[in-house]
Formats: sequence, structure tokens, C-alpha cells
Amino acid sequence: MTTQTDQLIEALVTGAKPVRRLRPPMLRAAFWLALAGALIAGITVYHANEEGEGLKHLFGDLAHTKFTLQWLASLATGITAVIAAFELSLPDRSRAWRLLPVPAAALWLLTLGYGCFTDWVEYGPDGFVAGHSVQCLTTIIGTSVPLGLGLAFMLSHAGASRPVDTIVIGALGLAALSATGLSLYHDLDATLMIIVWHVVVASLVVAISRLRARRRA
Amino acid sequence: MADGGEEGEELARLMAAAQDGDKRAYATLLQAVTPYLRAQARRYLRSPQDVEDVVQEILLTIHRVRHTYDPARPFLPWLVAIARRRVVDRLRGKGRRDSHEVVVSPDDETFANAPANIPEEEADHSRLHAAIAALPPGQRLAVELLKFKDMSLKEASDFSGMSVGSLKVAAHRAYKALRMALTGSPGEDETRG
Repeated sequence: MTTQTDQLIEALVTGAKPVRRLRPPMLRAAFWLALAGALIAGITVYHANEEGEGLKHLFGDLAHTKFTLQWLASLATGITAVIAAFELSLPDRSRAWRLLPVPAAALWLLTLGYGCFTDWVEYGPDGFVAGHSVQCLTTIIGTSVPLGLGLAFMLSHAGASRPVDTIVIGALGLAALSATGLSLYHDLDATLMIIVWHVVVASLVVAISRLRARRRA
Repeated sequence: MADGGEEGEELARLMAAAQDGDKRAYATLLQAVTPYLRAQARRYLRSPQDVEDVVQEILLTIHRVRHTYDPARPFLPWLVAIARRRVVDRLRGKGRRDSHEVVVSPDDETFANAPANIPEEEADHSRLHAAIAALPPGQRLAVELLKFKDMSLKEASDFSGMSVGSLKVAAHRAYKALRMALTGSPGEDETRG
């Protein structure tokens, strides 16, 4: 058995190539956040032009305190959770990073309403048709999936130490930023649906990573 | 080595060199941490095979994520976090396997059929040995070579100088004679005719 371990070491050393060290997590988080910001800004401008209302609609909304509070809370949750996820993905960083997004997330959750979560099917003159919820979900997926894939790629090394913590906090950041984006270009408050969607996706990712670990063990 | 200090600094230096492609430093590092990883794994796992498997998994993980180590930071916390994760994964996997398997000690082994649980009386070999001793020399030799020494017909033939055919005949006659001596009946061959 020891010989096998020695052989493994020999094989690893033989195949070892120089590697590029990861940049500091804060820098990487800032890079990802900048990309996410650019994507959300792009989608917002596109929707504003589509609806022919320009950005006036958005700034009108920002005059409402509740909307602004929720928007700022989700933005803060997104930023802090993404920073925490980048820190947690490294083996030697403190687990206390998990607490970073908690205050902002608490404020964000306090401002939640059902929004468009309850309108899956509508019954009207045309019979049963897909309600606003379906449209909401499509918009959420369109925002969340590209952001999520980028985040998953940048945090793929997290499996070495704290996969579940990283996935959960990363999904929180993703949900919060999607909500921040959607509140700019989606008329109805989609926050609850966004959270449910991200909980489902994060659970799936955790389950898949557990299955893979089980197969390996 | 667990206390960090100078040795920790040396390991950090070796890892930094390994990240830059220094294979000798990498080999030294992996060889230096392996006994430590083994000792850590032994604290949680009893089977030597499990310990060695988990050590190998840790080494593979170190290799896969070696770019995540920041040489400005201590090396051991990085190593320990990776090692702990792999040990936990192994324990989880083991727990899952063990929950599907029941280990029964041989003492508990029992059968529904009552006589099967009565320890077998020690076989009485003396009658067999006496019966073999009473066989003619050729038959006795055939039994001794083919059964006691577990030789093939060819080996027994080479050893005794008897032909394979005569060995077969001698062995067959010996078995018949022994069956007769021990059970009092000529056996299946005879009853079948």
C-alpha cells in the first residue's frame, strides 16, 4: 500500500507543470461583480429600449422608499455573498466569512412579498394560459444562468475544502444579484420566485456534488 | 511538523517552488507531508487500507488545487483543511456502506436446523489410517501420493515409477477396499453395477 502511495507521488511529480496562482479572492470577486454588473446593465438598457420608456421608468421607481430599500438590500446581499463565496472557496480561509452577507440578507428578506410567485396559470377568454409567473421565471433564468455558470467556473476549486458552504453562499449572492437586476427591468416583484429558483438549483448542485463524492469514496 | 514553525515555513517555500514547476521541491514536499497525513488519517480510520486510500485522495486533491495556495500565507492550515475534507468524505462513504452491511461475528453464526449448531465431533482418523496400512503396498502408495501428498497422476507416476494406468487402477482398488473397510458396503460403483 505504501508502495502504491510512493508510486502515486512519483506520478504526480512527473506530471507536475508550473501553475498560475489564483489572484486574491477579493480581486477575483470584484472582477466577477464587474462582469455581472455589466451584464445586468446591458439587459436593463435593452429592456428599457424595448418598452420604449427609456430609463425614466426605473428612476421613477427609485423614488419609492420601499423599492429603493429592497433594491439596495438585495444589491448589498449580492456583493457581500459573492465576496464571502470567493473567500470560502479557498481551503485556508475562515468559515466566519459565511456571516458576511447575513445582515444585508436579513434586511432583504424582510422586504419580500409574494410578487409574481402566485400566478402560474391564468384563466381568461382564451382558456388556461401561462400566467405572468412563467414569464418571470424565463427572465430569472436568462439572468441567473449566465451569471451562475461564470461563478461556478471561477469557484470550481471549492470542492477541495468547503463545497457546500461555497455553493450555498454563492447561490445567495446569485439570487440577490438576479433580484437586483430583475427589479430594474421586470415590472413585477419577482424576488420570492428568484429565491425559490436559486434554492432549487443550489440544492441540485449540492446533491450532484455529493453523489460525485460518494462515487469517489 | 504539526506545530508549524520553521518546518511550516519550509513547506510553504517548497510549495511555492512546486507551483513554479520545481519538481524536486514538489517531490520533497509530498514525501514530507505523507507521514503527517497518514498519522492524521489514522486518528479517524482504523483499517490500514482506508488510511492509505484517504492519504492518496488527499495527495491527488493537493495536486489538483495546488494553484489555490497563496505562498504569503501559512501552508499547514491549507493542507489541514484539504485533508479534513477528504477524511470526512471517506467517513461519510464508510458510514453509508456500513449502514447497509451488518457485521456478524462468527460466534453468532447459527442455523435454523438444530443439529447443525452442535459442534462436530472430531473425526476419528484412526480407523482410516489402520485401513490404509492394511492395503497392499502398490495401492497404499497410490493413495498416499494422490491424496495425502496431493500429487497429480503424472507427478505420482514420475515419483513412483508406476505407469499412470497402473496408478489409476491401484487407486481405484484402494478406494473400494477402504470404503468396504470403513462402511461395510462396497459403495456406489458396486451398487450401480
